[in-house]
Amino acid sequence: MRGRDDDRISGYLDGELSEVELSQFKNDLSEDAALRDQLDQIAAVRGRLRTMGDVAAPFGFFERIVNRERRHRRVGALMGVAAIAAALLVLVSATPVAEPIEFVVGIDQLVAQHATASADMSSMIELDDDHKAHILGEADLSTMDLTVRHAVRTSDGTDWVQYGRKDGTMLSVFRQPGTLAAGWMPDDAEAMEMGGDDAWIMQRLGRDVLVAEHDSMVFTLVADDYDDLMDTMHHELPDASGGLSDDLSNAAMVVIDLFSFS
Amino acid sequence: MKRVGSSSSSHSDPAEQVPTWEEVARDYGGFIYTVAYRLTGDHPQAQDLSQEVLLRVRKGLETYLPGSMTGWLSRITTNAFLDSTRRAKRRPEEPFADNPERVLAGDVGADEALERGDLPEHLQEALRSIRPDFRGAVVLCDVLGFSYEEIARHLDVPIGTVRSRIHRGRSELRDLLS
Repeated sequence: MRGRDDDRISGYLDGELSEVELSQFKNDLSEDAALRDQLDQIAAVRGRLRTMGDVAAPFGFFERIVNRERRHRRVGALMGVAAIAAALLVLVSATPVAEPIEFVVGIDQLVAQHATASADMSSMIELDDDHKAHILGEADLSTMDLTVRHAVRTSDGTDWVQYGRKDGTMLSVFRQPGTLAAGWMPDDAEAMEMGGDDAWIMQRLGRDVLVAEHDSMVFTLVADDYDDLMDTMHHELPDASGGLSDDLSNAAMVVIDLFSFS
Repeated sequence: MKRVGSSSSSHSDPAEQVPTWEEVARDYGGFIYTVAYRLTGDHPQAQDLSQEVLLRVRKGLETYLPGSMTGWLSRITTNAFLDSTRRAKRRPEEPFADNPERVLAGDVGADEALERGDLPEHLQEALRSIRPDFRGAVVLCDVLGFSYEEIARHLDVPIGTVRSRIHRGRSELRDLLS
């Protein structure tokens, strides 16, 4: 007999012995009490292993991973557009930058400003009889450029450029001269590094917000929530196969990927 | 847990579509975590391993062929686990008997332990104490229900090696639990 290390025991229990092995093993079993004991012991262990149940992950564990991944994608999009926005803002701004002063960025006000201007975009998404979504107007799904909706300098010296994205959402970039006052950061903001500068991300009124300071200028980016848009449309079309049209969905993903630094 | 190997009718679904990464995380997260915990025997490590698996899933989803998601995830999880144990190989293993919290209740019979309801943890502790390559084979076979051929494919080793690892793993468990 081969005793404890006879792996034919496991092969036998798992139905994995060849016919020749099986025949020989059965013969050995009939003649070897120790082998039968080994078989019983291994069978018991095998049986107990097979009763092991599911193990629950900590509450919200995978949701947090998914949300973090979504946030990274959004931040990547925001960061990429920031470079374009900064370049365009140079063209928009004709006057010298004011002497830096410390201030507290009025995030809620900027988000409200963005949201008011974004409201018109809802009319640019139309559902057809097949529940497919189409973008109306000048947005072009076949190209990747962002469309500047408007660019203004407000009376307080804030430059504001708003872009239309091809997924039907809007993105605003605000630039304000000065530096962030100490302790301005909201409790729900998450700090991160962006190209060597500090930046903070948060959510306000369903929008993603990124605040960054660079060269005595404060940039505040406000983006419509891509996932909220998707969720809303899926919710409104519970019976529609596929929900959003492939074109819209794919274009949205390309926009996200294009401006991601990951 | 639900066994997913070829012996189970839930093994494959020909109508399955390729899910998105988020759908994998949402719909199969619990499965990944269970396998990760069975392999690591430790919640923090299971969380790390689950995140590593999802990272590999995101990179490899393009190569996934519909019909064997749980098998695919089992393979990724097991290989990620074995990779991590190889990386950690230079760190000394903690001897099983030196940690009082991990010493098995050797004088308690299986039936009594089952009645007492504490066998699963002891079994998990024992599982955690056997060699990682034995553990991977045992989990794939006994917890997940894969055939030797499937395990050989998952681990890229000969079937004879699979049989040897499973048996040696079970033998070590028997010794730890007796």
